[in-house]
Amino acid sequence: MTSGTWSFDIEYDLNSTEEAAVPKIFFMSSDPENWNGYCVEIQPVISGESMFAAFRLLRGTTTPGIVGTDYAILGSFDVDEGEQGSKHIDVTRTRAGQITIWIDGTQVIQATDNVIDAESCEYFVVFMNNNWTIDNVVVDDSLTVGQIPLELIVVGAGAAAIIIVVGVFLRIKRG
Amino acid sequence: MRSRNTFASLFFAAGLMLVLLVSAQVGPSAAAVQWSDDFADGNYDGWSVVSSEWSAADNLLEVVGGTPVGCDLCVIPGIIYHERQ
Repeated sequence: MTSGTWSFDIEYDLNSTEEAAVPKIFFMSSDPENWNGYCVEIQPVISGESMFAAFRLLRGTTTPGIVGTDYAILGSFDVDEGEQGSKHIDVTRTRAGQITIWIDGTQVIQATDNVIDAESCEYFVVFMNNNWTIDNVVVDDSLTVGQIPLELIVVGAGAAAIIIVVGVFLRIKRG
Repeated sequence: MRSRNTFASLFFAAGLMLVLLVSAQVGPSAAAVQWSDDFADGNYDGWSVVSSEWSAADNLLEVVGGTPVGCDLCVIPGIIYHERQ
């Protein structure tokens, strides 16, 4: 699936996150064990005595024969709401490679990237720690978020047609 | 007479436009949910575990793996995946 929408609810506890195990949701991955693909990472950020979550869009690439994954940050958004939280995440990707992330219905990250062969990404991979949960996972091959619903387009087009007809009729009637 | 004919033509065109738009709306759509899981059945069938232990007993997916014996501070991240994008 090269384009579509990936949705899920995630509950996080940054206290359980070690530097070496920052949770990631690979919505597009070509390999569940050697991560090559695109993911949402929830990175703990320490600021003074407080800690909050930074949601990041990452591209992970692997090289055959070399252990480890190289990550490139494509976008980032801070959620300054403390160490624990529950969020609904929607991710969309167009065929042109534009990836958009919504948190609780608000668009927070958008980037375009075509480095990874999207055709090869057949896995949805969850990488997380104790005290984290994921729920309501939905993978749809259409863009279900951030688009104008077809019903609204139809109603709008119909209303416009009626207004045009009435306008032309009144103009003709007046002479 | 000419005005009436013009109006009738416009009215017919508008009606045709609406019928076509509604037809497009109710026609079959290729877009579809590829897969979904709300874990309401209390299991995570369809998922494959790579590391740690997982549970969906509380109707959500969570890591329940403990720390390794002899290392209370060690953290074992859980990895699980679903195919068929």
